[in-house]
Amino acid sequence: MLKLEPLLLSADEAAATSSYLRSLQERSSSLLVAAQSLFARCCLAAGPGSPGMLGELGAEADALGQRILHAPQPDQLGLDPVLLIEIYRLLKDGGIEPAAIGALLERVGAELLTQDERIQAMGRVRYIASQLTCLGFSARAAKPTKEMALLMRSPENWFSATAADLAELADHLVADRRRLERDASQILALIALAELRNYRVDLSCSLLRAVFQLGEPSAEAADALSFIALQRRRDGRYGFSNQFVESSAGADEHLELFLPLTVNAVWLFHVEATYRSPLQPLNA
Amino acid sequence: MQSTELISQLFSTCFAESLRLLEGFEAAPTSASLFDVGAVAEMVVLGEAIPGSELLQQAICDAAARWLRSGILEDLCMLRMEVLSHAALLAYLARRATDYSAADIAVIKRLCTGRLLGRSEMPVLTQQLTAAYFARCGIDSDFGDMGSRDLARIIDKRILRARSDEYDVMAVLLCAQLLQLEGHLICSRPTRYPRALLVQAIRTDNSNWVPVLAYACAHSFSLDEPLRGAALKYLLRNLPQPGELLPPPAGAGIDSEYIVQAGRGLRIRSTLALAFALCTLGDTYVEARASVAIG
Repeated sequence: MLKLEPLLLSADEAAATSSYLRSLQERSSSLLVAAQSLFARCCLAAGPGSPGMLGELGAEADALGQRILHAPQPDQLGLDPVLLIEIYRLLKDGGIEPAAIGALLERVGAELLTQDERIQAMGRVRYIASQLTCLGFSARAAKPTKEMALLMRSPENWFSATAADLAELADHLVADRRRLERDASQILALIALAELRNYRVDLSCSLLRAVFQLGEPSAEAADALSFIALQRRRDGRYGFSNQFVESSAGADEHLELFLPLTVNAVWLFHVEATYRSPLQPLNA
Repeated sequence: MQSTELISQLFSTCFAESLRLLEGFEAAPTSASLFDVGAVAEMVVLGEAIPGSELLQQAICDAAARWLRSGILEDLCMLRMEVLSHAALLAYLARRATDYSAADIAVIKRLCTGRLLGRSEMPVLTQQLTAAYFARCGIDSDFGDMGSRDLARIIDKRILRARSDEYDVMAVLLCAQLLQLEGHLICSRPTRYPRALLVQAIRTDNSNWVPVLAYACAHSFSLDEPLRGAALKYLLRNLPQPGELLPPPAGAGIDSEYIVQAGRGLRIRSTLALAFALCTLGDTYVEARASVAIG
């Protein structure tokens, strides 16, 4: 297994990434970019060696919540409620309660309760409902469909599951908060590694978050974490672009490639640090 | 001794052409233009003591520093290992730029610390395997101590690279052959890279790779349930038509000319591996043969 110590984030590196994320937000008017940037900076601020940063982010979160609340059609913004939930949770854990985000989450919870059974059984919806319930909002997590319940009980079938099914599976696993058996944990980490080699970072990080949160430490999971850590660049962003492929006209590489990858990286580091067993260092 | 005028004219022409080359690469980096820049840089570094090429040297050093600082060199290093020596040379030359800072090289240093760059396992494997085979032919090809190497570390580090081409499978097969010949001398076997590659092949529906990797894992590395079951299920779902071979590997077009030309061999190889894998992964064939023999 790789030695990870040199690859973990130092306080200076966290500050550089935070600064990079803020610069992206400042050059874009998109609420989605603002939410992604803020969430990732909350993850960084919640880590050790970043005292006092959460206070500033609380004010920013409130301002973002107000912008969303006053948008003409807030439910048409394409925002992932998970980002807002995680921002709220991270700030609340740091003793700050962003009222506007709280008001948004009240709305999300109420909206979920009106959805039909089929929608409520979806992984993302169950994950959102489960997180909202934990934070004290009124929501109800429905049961997964029979097909998904069967897939969840059959790790041997995960190897050939589609990317969409795996993403759904990860949401269900985190929603249920049940410990992952050793085999299941290793299979998810191995699939995450294989998907990282395809540079499907989004899916891989979903699987790895489930592994670090619910599973057991493994060499495969540590390798996957190293893979992500090695994507770090000098200015604090994460990701490598293919210089030999022409990017499509008008595409902003920072918003389309580096921002999602950076958000996934710092979210993963945060989850890993939160759930790491003090008795089992990563390079054991 | 040639005239100063002639030499100055040659330097001047090379300088003007090199500036165009550097600008062209900067505007649109391609593997061909990187090779061109690398070719010039190689000669520049060898002739650095000769007076007259200072302007050209400085132009390349300054350009290399810009590319290092902007991250282009890192991107190239991550993209293909074959550009690494040119990228390393340019990083070296960047140190001579007037505005070079130690922070410029931090990411490449990190990639080396993480063992992602700096050591290519293919020459090591090729050298060891060649020596092992030749030794059995009574030929001593070991002209120099190869030292003892941890095969698991050499191979498993490939897992950190986002790529997928025939060299991935080649590394696994070289290693498997080495284990077969000299397994008793090797203390640790790679496990994660061959299995991750098998999972990648299953998930990308690469029916050429799956049998090769499944058999190699079972034969030489490790293949525990449930991956064994998943691989077997995949193989049985992707059997070739009677009389047909398995298809060629997906994406072989990006590999070297040597590999691309071997398309038919790769199909036969995989079909053979399919037969081997079906013999060993499931127990029905072996049991059936055994009962016939007993009967």
